[in-house]
Amino acid sequence: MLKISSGKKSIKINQTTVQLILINIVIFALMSYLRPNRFLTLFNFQSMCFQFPEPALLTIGIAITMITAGADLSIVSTANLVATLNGMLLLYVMPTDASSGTVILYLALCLLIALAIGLICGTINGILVAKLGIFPILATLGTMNLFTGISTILTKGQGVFGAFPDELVFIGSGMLFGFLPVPLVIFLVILALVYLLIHKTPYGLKTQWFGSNRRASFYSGIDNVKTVFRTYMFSALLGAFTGFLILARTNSAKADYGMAYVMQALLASVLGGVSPLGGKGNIFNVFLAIIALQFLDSGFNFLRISSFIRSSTYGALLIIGVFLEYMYKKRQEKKMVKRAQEASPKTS
Amino acid sequence: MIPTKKSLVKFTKSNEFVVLCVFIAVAFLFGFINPAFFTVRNFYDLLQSIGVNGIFACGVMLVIINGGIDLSFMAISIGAAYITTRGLIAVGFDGPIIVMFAISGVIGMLFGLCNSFLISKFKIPIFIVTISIANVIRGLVMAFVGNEYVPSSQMPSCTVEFSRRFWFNAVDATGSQYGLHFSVFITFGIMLFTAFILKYTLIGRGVYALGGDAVSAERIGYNLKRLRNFIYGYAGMLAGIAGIVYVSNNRMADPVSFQGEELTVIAAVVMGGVKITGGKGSMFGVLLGLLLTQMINNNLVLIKVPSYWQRFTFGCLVIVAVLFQALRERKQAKL
Repeated sequence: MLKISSGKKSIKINQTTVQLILINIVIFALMSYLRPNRFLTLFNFQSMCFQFPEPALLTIGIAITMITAGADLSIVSTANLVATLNGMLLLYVMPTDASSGTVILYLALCLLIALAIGLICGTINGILVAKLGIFPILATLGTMNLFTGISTILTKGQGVFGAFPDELVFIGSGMLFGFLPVPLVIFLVILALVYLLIHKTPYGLKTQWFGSNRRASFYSGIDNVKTVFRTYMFSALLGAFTGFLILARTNSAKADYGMAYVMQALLASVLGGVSPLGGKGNIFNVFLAIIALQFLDSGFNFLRISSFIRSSTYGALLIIGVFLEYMYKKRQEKKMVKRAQEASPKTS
Repeated sequence: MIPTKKSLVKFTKSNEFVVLCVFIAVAFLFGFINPAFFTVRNFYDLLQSIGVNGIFACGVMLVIINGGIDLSFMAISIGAAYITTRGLIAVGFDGPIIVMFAISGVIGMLFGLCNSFLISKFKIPIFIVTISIANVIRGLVMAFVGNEYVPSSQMPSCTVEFSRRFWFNAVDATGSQYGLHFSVFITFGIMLFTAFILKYTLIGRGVYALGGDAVSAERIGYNLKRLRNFIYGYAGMLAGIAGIVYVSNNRMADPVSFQGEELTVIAAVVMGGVKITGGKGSMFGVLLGLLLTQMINNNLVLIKVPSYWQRFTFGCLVIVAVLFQALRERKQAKL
């Protein structure tokens, strides 16, 4: 494992990172070769940069809960709920001829709502999983239906559509300085924050320790309940903010938008080196995995591969990914045993 | 199995008893709000609607007692059923429906064995394996067998005949005929069979053992690999059978069926008192859980709750049920 440092900052680079960079290059090259005049265009990259922040943020939310040996399946539903509420606020409450200043005020209100919903959803998940010890998958399956259900009730089964103010559209589809997509910038900022959170704060270390070995972390004096609670809180906050972004980009909100993202998010997390059993997790690697999957998805688009084959490919890749990690672990164990055997005094 | 006083008292302390109380309470609530609830026809409807899910629940129950969550049973089910239907149509099949059940059951079992292979050999978490297998099966079926649904005109004649088999026919107040569909008996038969296996056979007890503590089970002498093969193979087979029941009743085989409905069955099983961490659970509880969930799903309309409240109600139900289980466990652990 080597560290690239420049002064105080450093990014961990380990074997998985190198593998992922290679995978990225391979996929990129393959897709460029197969469809050069579609894949290798600035337009394609720009549209990818607009699209991928949403599933990427959701992936990161799921990834941090995976580090604690769980999974937050309700994160997409939280996003949809926020998108619905924000959409309803902007369409039904905000006056249609509002000045730019008022619009910005309302957008700030939207963000406040997102914050509130994130906190509420996170608290619900946190209580169920951390305080009551309910199996995370089951608890979040339940809350997923709960939150989606609330969105469905609010919109009476339909979505939220309409003409949204330009300021909102700019956040979702605008470009800074003429070429930097706004969602990409937002995503990179959040990515950096989450990376710092997981790898540089005591809380982040605690989540990794908890995921590795609950008992040991408990006996070390770590408050397991608080750690897991905070994890689901952060996940919900990420989901909530993503909801705002979804509204900004698609200018619509539906209760069950993006459910397919859950599978993608699981896959990206596992490919990024997060073990579904908890413990290991490197946010930068997850980011690389997200990019790889985005290239793959874009390439599939141009190759006109149907969405069912896509999700079955993701399913197969997920199994292969976990399988490879298992083999890797086994090899490591064998090496360690061998090393121990060679180091111990010969007995015969 | 005559209930003695002691066993009755023991029963009142179990999860199943609570579910039974809730079931009776909710039933009375529904009936109070709308007396149309208390008709035989409604009761038959209720039994029929747990038909397909009931078969699923038997398989899912095995997996959950075993300590895992199976999210692949629906994909296996429609995959096996669709392959069977398309295959039999292609060879011009016109025989009894039991052949369809058999073929679909075998295909389902093979799919299920894939699950157990990946879980046993590579120690991949059950949740990941099943969710991936589900996606892979759906994708492969769509890719290699076809993605159009089979309309009722092309369905084998045995399925159409099966869908019309009713027993205990009666005529209701408006003069229309109704009866208990044959598939209900299949479901109950499978439930009894599964319950028998779980309670009275060595391999059934092994499922509980594995769920309680895998290491102890191994020490006692259970072959974990074989146990897992049994569990997932049996669940897969049941899923295949359920799939044929489904396509027969609907007179159509659509490969995109069942998407997103896994939680309904899992919730019913969990609500019936099957501990999610594994090791505990009974068929009676599962039956109650199924009845409760279906009753609520079917009858929200009767008490004038709009359909878009269904998902929310359902989510609430699941959470309340799981909450209740968790709180109960805490109380018991403190004793």
